[in-house]
Amino acid sequence: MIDDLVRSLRPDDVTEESYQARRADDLRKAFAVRPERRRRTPLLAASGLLAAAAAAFVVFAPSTTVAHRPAPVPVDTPVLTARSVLLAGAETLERAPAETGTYWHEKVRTFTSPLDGVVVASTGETWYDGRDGKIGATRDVQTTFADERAEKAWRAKGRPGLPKTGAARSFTGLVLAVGIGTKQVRQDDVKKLPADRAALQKWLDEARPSGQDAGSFTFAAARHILTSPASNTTRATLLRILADQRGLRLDENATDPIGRPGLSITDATGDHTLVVDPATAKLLAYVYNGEDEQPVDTPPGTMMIPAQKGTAYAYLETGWADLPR
Amino acid sequence: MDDPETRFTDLYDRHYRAVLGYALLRAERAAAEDVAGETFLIAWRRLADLPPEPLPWLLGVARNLLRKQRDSGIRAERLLAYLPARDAPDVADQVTEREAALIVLAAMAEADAEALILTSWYGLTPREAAKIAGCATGTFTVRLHRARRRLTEALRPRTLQEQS
Repeated sequence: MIDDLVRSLRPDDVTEESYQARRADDLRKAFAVRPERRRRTPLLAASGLLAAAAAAFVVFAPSTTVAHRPAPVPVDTPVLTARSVLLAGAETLERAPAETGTYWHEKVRTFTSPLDGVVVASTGETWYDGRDGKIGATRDVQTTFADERAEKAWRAKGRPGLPKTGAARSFTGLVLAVGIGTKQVRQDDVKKLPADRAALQKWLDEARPSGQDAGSFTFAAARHILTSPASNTTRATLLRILADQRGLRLDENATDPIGRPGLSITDATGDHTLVVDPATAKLLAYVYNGEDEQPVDTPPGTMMIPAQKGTAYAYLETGWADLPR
Repeated sequence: MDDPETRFTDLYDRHYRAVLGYALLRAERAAAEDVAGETFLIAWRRLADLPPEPLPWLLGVARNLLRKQRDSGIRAERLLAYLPARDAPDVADQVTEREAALIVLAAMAEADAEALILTSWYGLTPREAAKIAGCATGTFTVRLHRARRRLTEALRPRTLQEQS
C-alpha cells in the first residue's frame, strides 16, 4: 500500500508532457550520429595489467617469410556435420579427467592485420591465479606481406601494429576480467560457470547484449570459455549449445593459423571460426572475420581491444601450470 | 530483426518518461530533460550493447550524468510541483496524503528515499535497483525496508491522544 502511495507521487503529467514535446527532437538528434558497433571483444579490467602486457613485448626484425595464415580450403561434401563434431567433442571432454592447479597458463600466438596484405604475428604468455601472476616476454614477432606493395605501404605508415618491447614481469594483486557481452568475468567466475545446460544457456542469454545474434554471440563467448579454467563438463555443455546453432559450416580439412590440422566450424554469420582438435576437443584457434570494430569509451580501469577482421588467436598451450622461475 | 531506428524509437517511447521521472528527483526540469535526452543519445550509440531489460541500464546512465551536476541530491520536495492531478471525489484528501508522504520522503536519508522510489515507480527488483544505487543488494533491501517502515509509521492515522 505504501508502494502504491509512493507510485502516485510519480510525476506522470510532467513526464508525459515532456515526452510529447521532446520526442521528435531527441530522435532527430540521435539519428544524426551513427550507432557504434557492438562490443564483442574482451574488456580487460585493470589497465595496469594491460600496460604491463604492452610493456612486455619484444620486437624482432620483420621478415618477409611466407604467411602462416592458411589459404581457405575448398569445401568438400562433409561426411561429418558441424553438429556431430561438436557433440563428439562434448563427449570427449566429459571423459577427460579434471585438472587442477594454481596458475592458469596461456600461451597464445596472435595474428593481426594492421593494413591490407600485412599480417603481424607474435606469441605472448600469461600465468594467473586470480590475483598474482606473470606475463612472459612477447616472442617471435613476425610480419608477413602479401606483396611488395603491401610492405612498402606498411613501412610508409610507420610500421603499424608491431607489439612494443619489454621484458617479462611478475605482478601481484591485479584483477583480470574478460568481457563476455555485458558481463565482466573473472577467473573465479569462470570456474563457477554451470555445467547444467539450462543454467549455462541462461547465463549466456543474460550476458548477450540485446539484439545480438545468439549464435554469433555464443561463438564469440566460446573462444573465451573453451580456453579458460571452466570445468570440462561446462565446456562440454557449451559445445552442445554450439551444436544446436543453425547455419554452422564445417571444414574437416582445416588447419589453424600455425598449420596444425583440425576441424573448423564457422557460425552462420561467418564472423567467427573455431578450429578444434578432434582428438582432445580442445580449441586450437579462433579466427575473427567480422567487420573491424571501432574503439569505444569504457569504464575507468578497463580497456577495450577492438576486434579487427583477420584477427586470429592460436592457442599453443592452455592449462594449469606452475609459475616459471 | 527490427532496424536500429525502430528499436531505438521503441526504447525511447517505452522508457523516456521513466528516465525523466528519475532525473526530476535530482535536477530542475530543464536540466532533467537535458539529462534524459543525453541518456538516450548514449543509448543510441550503445544500442547493440543494451541488456535485454534496458531500464536499469538507462537509469544508471542517467544517474551518472546527474552526478556531474551541482546539487544533484534527491529532493523529494521537488515533486510537490509535479504532483499529478487526480479526478477523484476525495481529491483534497489524496493531495494532502501525497504531500505528507513527500515531506516524509524529503526528510529521510536520501538513499532510503531512493530505494523506495526506484522499486515503487519502476517495479525494479532489489538486485536491479541496487546496481543503480551503487550498493549491495542486501544494503539496498535494508534501505527499502527502513524507508517503507518510516513512511508507514509517519502516515499512520493517530488518535487524538497520540497527537497531543
